[in-house]
Amino acid sequence: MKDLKTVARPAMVLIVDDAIAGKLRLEGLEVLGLSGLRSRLVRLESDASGQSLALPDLSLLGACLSDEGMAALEADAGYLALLNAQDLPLRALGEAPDHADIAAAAWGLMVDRLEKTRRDAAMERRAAAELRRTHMQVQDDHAELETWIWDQLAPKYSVVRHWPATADTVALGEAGGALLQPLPAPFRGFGAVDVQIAEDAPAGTLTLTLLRPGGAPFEGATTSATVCQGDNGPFRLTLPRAGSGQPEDAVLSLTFTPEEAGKTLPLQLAPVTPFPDVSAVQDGVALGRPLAITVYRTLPRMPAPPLHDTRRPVPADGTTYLLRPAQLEDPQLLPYFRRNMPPRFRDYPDAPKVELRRNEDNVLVQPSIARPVVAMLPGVPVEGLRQISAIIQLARHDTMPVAFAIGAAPAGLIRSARKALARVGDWVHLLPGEWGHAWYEAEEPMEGHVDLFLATAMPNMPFNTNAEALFHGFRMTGRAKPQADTAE
Amino acid sequence: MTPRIAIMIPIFRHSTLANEAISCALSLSGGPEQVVIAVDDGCPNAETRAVLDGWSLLEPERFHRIHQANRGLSGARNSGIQLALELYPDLDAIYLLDADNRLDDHALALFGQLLRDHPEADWFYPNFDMFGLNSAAHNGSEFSLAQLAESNICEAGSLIRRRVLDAGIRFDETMRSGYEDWEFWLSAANAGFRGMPVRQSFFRYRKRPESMLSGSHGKDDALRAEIRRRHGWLYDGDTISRLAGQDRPWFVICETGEAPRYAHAYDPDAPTPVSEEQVVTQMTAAALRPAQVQRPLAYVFVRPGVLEHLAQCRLSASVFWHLHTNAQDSDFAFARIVTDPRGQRGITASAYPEPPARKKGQRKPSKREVARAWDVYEDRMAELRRAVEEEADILLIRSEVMDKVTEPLPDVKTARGRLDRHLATGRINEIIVATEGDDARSGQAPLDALRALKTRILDAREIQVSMDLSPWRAAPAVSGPGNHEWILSNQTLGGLPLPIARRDGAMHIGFVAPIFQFGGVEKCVVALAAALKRQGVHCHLFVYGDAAMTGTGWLTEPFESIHHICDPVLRSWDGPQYMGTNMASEPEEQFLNNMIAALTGMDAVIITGSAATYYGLTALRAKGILTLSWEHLFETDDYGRVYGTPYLAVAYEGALDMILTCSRRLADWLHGQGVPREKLLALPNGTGFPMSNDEIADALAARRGRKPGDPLRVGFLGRLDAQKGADRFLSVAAKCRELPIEFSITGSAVLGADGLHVPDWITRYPAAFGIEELKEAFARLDVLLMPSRDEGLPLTIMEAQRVGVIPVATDVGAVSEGIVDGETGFLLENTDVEGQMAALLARLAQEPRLRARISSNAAGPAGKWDQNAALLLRAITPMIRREAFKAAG
Repeated sequence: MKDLKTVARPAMVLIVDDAIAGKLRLEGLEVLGLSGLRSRLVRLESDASGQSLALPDLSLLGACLSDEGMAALEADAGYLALLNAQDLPLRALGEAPDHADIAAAAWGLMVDRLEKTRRDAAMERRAAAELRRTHMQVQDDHAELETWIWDQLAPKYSVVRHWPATADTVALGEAGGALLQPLPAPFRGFGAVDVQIAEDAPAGTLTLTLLRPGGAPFEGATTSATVCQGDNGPFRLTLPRAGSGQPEDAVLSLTFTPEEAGKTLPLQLAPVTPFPDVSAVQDGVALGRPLAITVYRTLPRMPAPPLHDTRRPVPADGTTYLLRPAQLEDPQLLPYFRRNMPPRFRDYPDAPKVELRRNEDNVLVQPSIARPVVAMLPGVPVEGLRQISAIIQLARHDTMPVAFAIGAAPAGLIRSARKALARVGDWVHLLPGEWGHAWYEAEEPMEGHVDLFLATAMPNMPFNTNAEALFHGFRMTGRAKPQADTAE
Repeated sequence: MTPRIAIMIPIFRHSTLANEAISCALSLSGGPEQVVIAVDDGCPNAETRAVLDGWSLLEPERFHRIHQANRGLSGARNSGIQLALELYPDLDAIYLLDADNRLDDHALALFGQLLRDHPEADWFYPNFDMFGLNSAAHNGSEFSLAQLAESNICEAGSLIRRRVLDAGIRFDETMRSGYEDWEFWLSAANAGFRGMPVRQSFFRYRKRPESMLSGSHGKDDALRAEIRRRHGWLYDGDTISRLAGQDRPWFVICETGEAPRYAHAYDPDAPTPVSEEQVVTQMTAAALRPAQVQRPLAYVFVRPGVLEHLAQCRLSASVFWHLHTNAQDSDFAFARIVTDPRGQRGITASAYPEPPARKKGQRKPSKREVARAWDVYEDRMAELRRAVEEEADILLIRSEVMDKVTEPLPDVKTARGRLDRHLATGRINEIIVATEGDDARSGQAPLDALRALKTRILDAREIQVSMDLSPWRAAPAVSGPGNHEWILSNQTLGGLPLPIARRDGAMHIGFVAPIFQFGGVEKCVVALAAALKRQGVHCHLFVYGDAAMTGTGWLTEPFESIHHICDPVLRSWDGPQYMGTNMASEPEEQFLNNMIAALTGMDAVIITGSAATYYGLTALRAKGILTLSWEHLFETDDYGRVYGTPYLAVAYEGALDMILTCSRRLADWLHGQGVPREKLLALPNGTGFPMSNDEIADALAARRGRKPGDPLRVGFLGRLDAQKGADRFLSVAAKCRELPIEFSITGSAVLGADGLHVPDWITRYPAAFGIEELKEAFARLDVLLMPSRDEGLPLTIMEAQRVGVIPVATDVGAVSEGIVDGETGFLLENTDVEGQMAALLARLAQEPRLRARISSNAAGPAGKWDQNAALLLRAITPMIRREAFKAAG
């Protein structure tokens, strides 16, 4: 059996009577007698079934046997069982076949084999054609689906992990070593990560590469961003395209190349954790804690959408005043394809709740996992409105992340959620229990009365239980006629 | 070409999908060289052979195939392994890839890294990354044999080192219905090999909805039973509990001194000190990742000095067992150590007070009765809460409950008040431990120590709660650290084993007795245990009865641990009759499970009259534990009919591995009742209490120092009841009153002695329990009269003979096995006993030389118990499943 490694494999084996085996030559075939084949078989150890023979690395064309050969084969149960399991084509050639008989039978076997092979090849071609057709269709469907989702203005990314910053830092760039941080999410769909620069940064280039813990790095999963002198706070690194393929473990590798030699980039660390598998590693030394990061995921293979930056300047010449929810009229839930929705479905349990909680001075816009939900606060008088911000909160810890957005349109212009979504600002994702700000900037100053739109969504989330998405107060910037008595 | 890794692909029916498996296996690069071996397991699809032909042509160097008649998955894998090992002697490892699964491109590089960086691991198993029905579950905690015992945590798609296969480990080809891979890992583990989880993805399992219909889940019970049968080394006894104790501490013990001291322990007598920070970190980690991090089973807060005191009493394991068992259905269990004025020991668990509720068939109570019932209930609850605050010496809280009271959600502020709310509304179980020691309390109250630890945990969690540190994969469906209590309950007969350490590979024998006072049977148990201990056996005492037990030091000295369960059901004889002897009442299922589970740490269990334990014999034997009963004597009822536990030994003979008897005569009787001779072993009684050779010599010298003319001292020693013939003794004394004989009685009336009048001229001594009292009792006698109506083989005979006292006894029971008539004492017919005894005493009073001869014939140390222990060990050692020792270390 040792020669299996080195000897070229025979094209095909024909089995004949032992008496003929040594005398017959057929081009392209190895002719073996029953005993010859037997000597090539592997005897199996620890075989409970009693079928103790196996056939290694041989392709059998078939057997052409005389009556005597047939009898010899049938007398050997193990041998027969093995050949039967191979579904071996068999030609019985009577008492004393001569070489010509065997050659003719072998020719017949070969023709049968060829025919079968041709048929198989045709089937494979047919299967491949079908696969191509299906693949193209899937691609088309997928592309259309993407466009459709995009057009819905639904959020296309979500925050999958956020580790808060502490005062402790790690210096990146010393001796040019990379800082390794296990990614707390699969590579598939990973779009961007925010790191926290602790204090005024030196100018340089921050580079992110996605590595496998073992094996080659991910292809094309690298990006660089310029760090300006004095940058601090959250700093985002976005991959050109989000990760794809099967969900896999990955490691973020960060390197910093300063413009001025010897400078280092201080990155903030998250609190100490008991888990080594989330710990950042520098120069082979585990830091015992991860980097403070926020990880975003988006559609696999897609370029990451613009991620909302909360640090947005207020217009320098604007007047800002606070508008409390309690000062406004009750919100209305904007219908979604209302015209097409049978009345019985309008009260479907999924229909989210929208209410003004006057006692708590906030507006609840319960998100749905099925689609974005938009509440409208009608008829707010404004003057030269250019920017709105809202304090948003996801009140409970025991729920899923929610995306918030706000927007505005001239009063009475929009009466459906779908149209309202074209008028909202960037989506801001909050993790359970978090507070934040949502912003909207009007393309042109708005006058008169406007309808405010409060939108929430839970893309790719399994449930909306306990998702108390609250809008607390609105800062209206412009030359607005203050309706509120509290001006800033 | 020298491949280092062979990738094995068995094929049966997956003719087309096999192309994906072969293709991905051949396309791997970046690591050690690989070879692919496909095994056509008699696949009925001709396409399989065409596919393999094709790959053979494409990759003649790196691809082999083997065709065989169908042998099942195990047979196919074995054929591939055989071929691989024969073809490539330099292989480092084999990888098992099923034909419908896939490997990631970087798998080979990772294999190289794993083999190089983890030489200690013998096989490497993947996460459960599924495609088709997409899902990802991680592979749980670090490798745990206890978890592998409960379910197959190692997916077959594993990388197996060469040395596992060189050791002859193969797939069992008779397991054709499934779980063959589980059986393979268990066989490897039995040979000392261990697995390692690979945290990085590299393997993809094709999950189709059809997988959920697969047959092995339907045959789960039968296949599990088969696995258990094959792997007694793992499933026998309390091995799994011990292994689990190696994975994690069973108990975190906090001693509440000025500065709390922490320790991890399985056996509370063998704690390992740890820091508070370690405790807090582990608990935080386990709460954040319950499916990956092992956590202790329970936290125990104990006042200083209590553990040492319990260790002296050998009760530590039992007290912890009671607390832990009682905590299973409550939130807190605490123990108070109290002093018993009679010097008795006992552990009593009081039932948790249930709120008043009307029982079925009960009349409707009046409003006043309802109010009174509620008052009683609330008073009891208030008393319990007060006791747990002020009087608890040990407090046990299970990890599950600890997690609840330290759970930081929804916010840390709320969590801070949670313990007290839990105390106000939770279930509290109280255990009272009576010992002969001092019950003075010191140190911080356990509950305050718990509060302090809780604050530390919450402080630590406050930081962690804002971070989501869970792995991105879901928890696996197989058992993990979070299911630990469930695993234990599954594997330890539904209860908890006694937490005792096995410090060496020696045998552990448990004696189960319903009473442990100062009776003959107890003294036999003590004497045999002491002899076994001298021969290296660890003995444990299980008192399963309805009363306290004696705390006398020399009686408990041979036992490494003492476990006491006190419940009326254990002495209830309300079961059906077997041949005129009542069987015990059958305990409730959970109670029986608890009783029996506590015995699972033993290699053999010797039952002496604890009839309730018989209900658990089958379960014990299923855990590979040897079951023996030890029979001593019959009793006689008011109508003269004999009955007693020997009849129960006959009743349960089929579930007993061996029946020991105190005499050859009783062994013959049991054989006569149909017990096979091979199951019977007579251990004729020896002396009941220990005396050193010097003490014996001194006692004999003192006796020889008496003058021939001194009056003969004749005594009765034992219970003053009809069975022992106390009335006969008084008659004999009356008949011999004129002779120069001094009569005395040492003992007290126990049963059936009403109306017995002891005249003033017979000296009375109180019953002797201590060794010194016993020595004195024998020292003041020349002749011991035993006019019993019923006996086994009384220890008193041998004890008397040892110090030269002449036993004169009725020939009942097996007394004749202890006395050679006229040589080592006198045996009298059981008729006209008073007349025969009076005549004999008259003769002895007149013949000092006869007295001296008989007295010296059997005097001196006997060593019978050592012979008995050797006999017993010779009989049971070949029957004990020694493999269990190996697994748990």
